[in-house]
Amino acid sequence: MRKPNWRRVVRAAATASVIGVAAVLWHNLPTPDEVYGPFDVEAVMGQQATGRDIAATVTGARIAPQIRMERLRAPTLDALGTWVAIDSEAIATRTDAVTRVELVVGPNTYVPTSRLGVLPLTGSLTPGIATRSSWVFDVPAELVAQRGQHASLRVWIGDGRMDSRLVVDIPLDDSRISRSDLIVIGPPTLVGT
Amino acid sequence: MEPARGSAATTVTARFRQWLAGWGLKEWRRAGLVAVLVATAAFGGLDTVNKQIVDTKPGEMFDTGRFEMTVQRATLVDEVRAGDRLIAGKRPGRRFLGLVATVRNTSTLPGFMDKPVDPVGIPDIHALPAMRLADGTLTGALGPGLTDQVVLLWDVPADAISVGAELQVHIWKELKRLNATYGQGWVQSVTDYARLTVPVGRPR
Repeated sequence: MRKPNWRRVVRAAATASVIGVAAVLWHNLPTPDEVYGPFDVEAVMGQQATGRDIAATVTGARIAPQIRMERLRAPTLDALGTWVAIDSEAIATRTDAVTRVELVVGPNTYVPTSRLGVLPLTGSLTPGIATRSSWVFDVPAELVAQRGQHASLRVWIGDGRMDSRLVVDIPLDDSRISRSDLIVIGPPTLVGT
Repeated sequence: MEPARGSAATTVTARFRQWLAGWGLKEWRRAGLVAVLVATAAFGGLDTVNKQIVDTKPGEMFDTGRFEMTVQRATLVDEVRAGDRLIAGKRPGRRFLGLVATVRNTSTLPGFMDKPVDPVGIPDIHALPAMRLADGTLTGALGPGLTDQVVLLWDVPADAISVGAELQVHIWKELKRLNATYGQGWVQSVTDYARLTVPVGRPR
């Protein structure tokens, strides 16, 4: 008659519990957003938001079903929903950089349209020269029709991981939001600082 | 006094040890298999993998999970024009394959419409930006809640497919996942897709 080998029993129990704990941990890992997420720099329309590598001010917004560039023979383009042009001034603060932009309206996220070609603010920004132009989005009309609705513009450089991201709150019934039949995107204004 | 309990426990252990000692290779293999299944089950090892292939046809809507997509027709051309604007010029040995489709984004994120669509069996194929049928503007991502009729475009070898051929197309299901880096995104299913055959026509 032999006593049970407690060392072996403990070893087996420890192995089983390590596998069990690993499984629980594996099912509850932090999301990549929680690990690598950007650091939001919050601002409201009319206020400058300054991040590590970009600064921007939203000065107003225009909403219309049609849009055209202010140049000869530029076609007038219909939106699938409605056009939302966010008029802004932006400047890179460290090095030449291409912005990444999203407009969050209700539950949805939108990126700038490519149908107008590359607009100055979606191209490369330069340190020391502020660019005044617009980011243009195509958004379902009903999302921007409601009173009291807010949109949120997010602007960042690169892939945004563990870097600053500008988040600008835009109240859609503010007096600086204009609604018309046609948006005309004029030439950009470049201002040396 | 302890002897009774101790001896009972010892007997059970001894019996168990004796039983194990009687195991042959077959039993140990089975035990090993059960151990591997139990250990991997905790990490999703026993999750169902069902390959689902749906047969569909031009004019029928297929829901990828992110897009409701209806393929209408396929066209093979030497160059791509939108009115008097040249989008892609003639090149020796190459042609352009267009797939006209109506697409609705039913998700909450913007998405590129050509991502889930895969023309099968064409080597050396390169995707070009999708083009709106209505005005020929290049449309990158389609926003959530929006519907558009677009031409999905590919640059293909001239001898890979011809007018009158039957083009095999796979439209992959898509799943919303967290990206490997950060944020949410859509990834293609590796098992589920719709397959359809589209006759390749001339430009209209």
